[in-house]
Amino acid sequence: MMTLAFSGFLFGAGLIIIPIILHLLKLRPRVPQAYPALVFLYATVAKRQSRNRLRKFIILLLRCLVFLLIALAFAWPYLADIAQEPEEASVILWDSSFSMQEESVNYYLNDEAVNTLGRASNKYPMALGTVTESVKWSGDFSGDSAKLTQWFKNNRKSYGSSSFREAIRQADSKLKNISAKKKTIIIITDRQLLPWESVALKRPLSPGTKLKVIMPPKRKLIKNTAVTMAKFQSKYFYPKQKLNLKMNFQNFNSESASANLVIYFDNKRIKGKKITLPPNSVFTEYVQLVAPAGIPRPLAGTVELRADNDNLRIDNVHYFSINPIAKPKIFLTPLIGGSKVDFIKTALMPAKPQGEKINAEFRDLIPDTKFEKFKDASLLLLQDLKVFGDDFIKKIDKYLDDGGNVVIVWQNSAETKKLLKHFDINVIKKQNKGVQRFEMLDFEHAIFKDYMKVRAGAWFDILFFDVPTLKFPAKTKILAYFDKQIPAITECRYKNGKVFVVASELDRKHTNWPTFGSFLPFWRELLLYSERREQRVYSLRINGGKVVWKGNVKVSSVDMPNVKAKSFLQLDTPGNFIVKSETKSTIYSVNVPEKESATTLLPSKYDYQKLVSNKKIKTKEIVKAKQKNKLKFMQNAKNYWWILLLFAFALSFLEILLANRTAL
Amino acid sequence: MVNRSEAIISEFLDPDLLSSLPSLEVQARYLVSGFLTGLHRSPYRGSSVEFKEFRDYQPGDSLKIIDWKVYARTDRLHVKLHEEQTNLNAYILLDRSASMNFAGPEAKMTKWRYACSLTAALLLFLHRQNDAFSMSMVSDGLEDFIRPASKTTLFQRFLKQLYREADATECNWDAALDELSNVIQPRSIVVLVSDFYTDLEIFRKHLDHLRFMKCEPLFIQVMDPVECEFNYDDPVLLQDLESGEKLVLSPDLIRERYKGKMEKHINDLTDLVKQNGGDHLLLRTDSSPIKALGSYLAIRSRRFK
Repeated sequence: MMTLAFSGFLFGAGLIIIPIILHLLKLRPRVPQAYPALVFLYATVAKRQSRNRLRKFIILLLRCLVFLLIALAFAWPYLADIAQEPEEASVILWDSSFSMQEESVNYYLNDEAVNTLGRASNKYPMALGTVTESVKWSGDFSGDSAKLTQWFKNNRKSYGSSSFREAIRQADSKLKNISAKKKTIIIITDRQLLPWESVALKRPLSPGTKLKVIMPPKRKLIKNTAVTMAKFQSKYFYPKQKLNLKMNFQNFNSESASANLVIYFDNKRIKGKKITLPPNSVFTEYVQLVAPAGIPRPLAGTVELRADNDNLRIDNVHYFSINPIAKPKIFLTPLIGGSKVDFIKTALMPAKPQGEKINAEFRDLIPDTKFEKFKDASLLLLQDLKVFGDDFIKKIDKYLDDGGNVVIVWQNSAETKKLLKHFDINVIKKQNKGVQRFEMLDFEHAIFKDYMKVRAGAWFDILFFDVPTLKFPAKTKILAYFDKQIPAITECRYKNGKVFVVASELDRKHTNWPTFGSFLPFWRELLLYSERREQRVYSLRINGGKVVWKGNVKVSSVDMPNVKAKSFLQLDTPGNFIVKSETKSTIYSVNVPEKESATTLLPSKYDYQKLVSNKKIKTKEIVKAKQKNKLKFMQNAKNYWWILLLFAFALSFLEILLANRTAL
Repeated sequence: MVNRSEAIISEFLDPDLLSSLPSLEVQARYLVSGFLTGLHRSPYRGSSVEFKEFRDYQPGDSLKIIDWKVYARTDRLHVKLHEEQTNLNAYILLDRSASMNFAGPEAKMTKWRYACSLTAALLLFLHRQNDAFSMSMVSDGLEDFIRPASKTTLFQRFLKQLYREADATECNWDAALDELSNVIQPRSIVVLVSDFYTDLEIFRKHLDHLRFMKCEPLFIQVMDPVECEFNYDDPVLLQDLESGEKLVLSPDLIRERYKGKMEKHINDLTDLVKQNGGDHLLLRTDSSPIKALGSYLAIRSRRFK
């Protein structure tokens, strides 16, 4: 059945009244006009009068039809079976958190979801979303139940945690954009409280939208024990190193639970241990593991809690891993002038190769140093640049393109300014005469965050003299400010690497910072922060079997279960993942979110129906939604407006011919 | 030369101005004086009673025109020349039917008033040329026919007649021309002024008779521009001026066909008249009537060649 998208335009068809009125007015003139040559008119008209009358009627008909067709074309007719207003549009939100995999509820809710989706049709279109921290949508509203069911089967499982807050808003927004007699959000979830915790009941849904929650029948409290953490306490540097593993277990039950603790490390089973977990508490256990002999390589393992009475077993396995820290390579520009002391080098130089101390390798960066030599460096420390030419800037560029890290320490020289200018950093003022102190530090930044553990020195007592004022690009992160908001330490992304700028010369004339306890930890953390560059990447793109980091590190192969080619992998599937790059391998451990193990059920008095609005839907909104919906349907629907316009043009041309005129 | 002068004069003789002139006599004088301004004096000289000039006798001159009295007094031979006496009779027949009483929406004067001005001018012109003239109106026959003469009183009388209205219900050319054929002098000029909305066949036998009488007819057809163009836009209800019949029609739809018919009628009339040795002149009321005088003069010239 043909339907009109913009039926309002049909009022335009009323314009046919114009030719009709004109026709009626001209049909029979009242006032006779004298005329002498009527004898000729009789001869002319007599034969044609009846024909002319018919012709006039045809012209009138044509004019009316032209108006009608134009109005109809603007009203945009299209096939109604595509765009017929649905009886009920539903958005189904499937709680995709791993707690849904608890066996007792899984089958029940799965069947409910399949049955609900089975009712999808053009009259009852549905959209399906699987909810974790975010929502994954099946697409637009569809009446194809088979397609929806298949999509559900492919996407129902996840190992994340869920929250309905955003999901409900998104579902509401989706329903706003469709015209339907009834609109419903159907939430399919276990009775876990967690996803509802963030839902704001005071913020109702759009008027007219109903809410239905499908939950398993009220049941007894589920029993659950979980491994919530397994992490090495120490950093891994050398072979046969003793590594302390800290494990947290949580008993969510109101009674104590006994379980066997089994640890696998580097593909070897470590002797099991029987533990008893006190009710509703977190239990911590430590174990000392020994790294294998030989060159340090990434190591991984699992902690398994084999509890007897546990309904949710996914969180009973915890993956852990440790990657050796390579000896960092630092290239420094030597300070020219015998009396100058390179405080940074002094601070970072290893006193003894012992424990967690930085065991860095220092090399001089001079104009003749070839790019190949420093391309793998963890950090380039640039201070005195007087002897460096333009070629050097090109080398630095290349190094940054490979994901390197560069620290530029301010020197009042043309070469430093030139280099800064290259990174779009401008010198506003060469010197701010007088004493400056740190005014503000970004303690949330990884460099300072880790430093805080050290608790060394008072930052705000450090003195700086005659510091410059530099202007940085907008994307720059300011890690520290001097007084009057003058940037002191900054971090800026450039190509694939990072450029750090310290806006003060680090010699006796310009600062007393090296005498403070914060100096050494700052540079050490900066070095470690730079060394972590590969670990900052969280996802991989699998492209035809060849795995490429989203960053700059090329990966030759990846050892991951269930990873399909050309898929985008979020590391949210529990497991240990080995990523082999050209230069080294790294293991990543992914575990189920800790909070999802919570077994607290939704209280029976929790009234989620408060989300349903009491307000009536405004007619304006209904019309608006209908129009929006029609527009959307029309993109796919067969419409005929252009045929109508074509006819209108043809008829108007015919009218011109018949009416014996050259223009309308 | 006549035609060229006529064209120049026509530009200066404005029909709008003509319509605003107060009386037919003034109108006639305006037209005739305007026409004559562009012409030389008539070159035809004859033996009429009106003396013109003396000149020396030239060998070849007729002995009849020698003025013997002057010879007796002066002993020289002179010939006596007189103004031309043409003995030409002109009959003007003016259609007085109601169809002449029409003026289109943009016309300044009706066909009747235009025809009257034209006739008055012709009469004056004839009078000045010393041609004998007669003017009759045509309705169901000839009205008040008077034998032609070249007298000022007659001119005044005809002029008065022209103030009548065109209110006759018909124009019976057949009867009128029948009557004329009984009284017409041979070698006369017959001027018919009308719109000629009639069956042209009725003229055929009368034209034959006129030709037999060696008379020359001049058909002056007066038409309003609307009759020629039929430039009405909207559907109109038209009423016949003579019969009173009404007709509703859409001008757009019949205009071309009507114009075709009208053109054919005019062409038929032209052909008919020319086949019988006459002239046909179509005058639109938005053009100067001076052409009529030119046409008359052309016919008159042919007579004296």
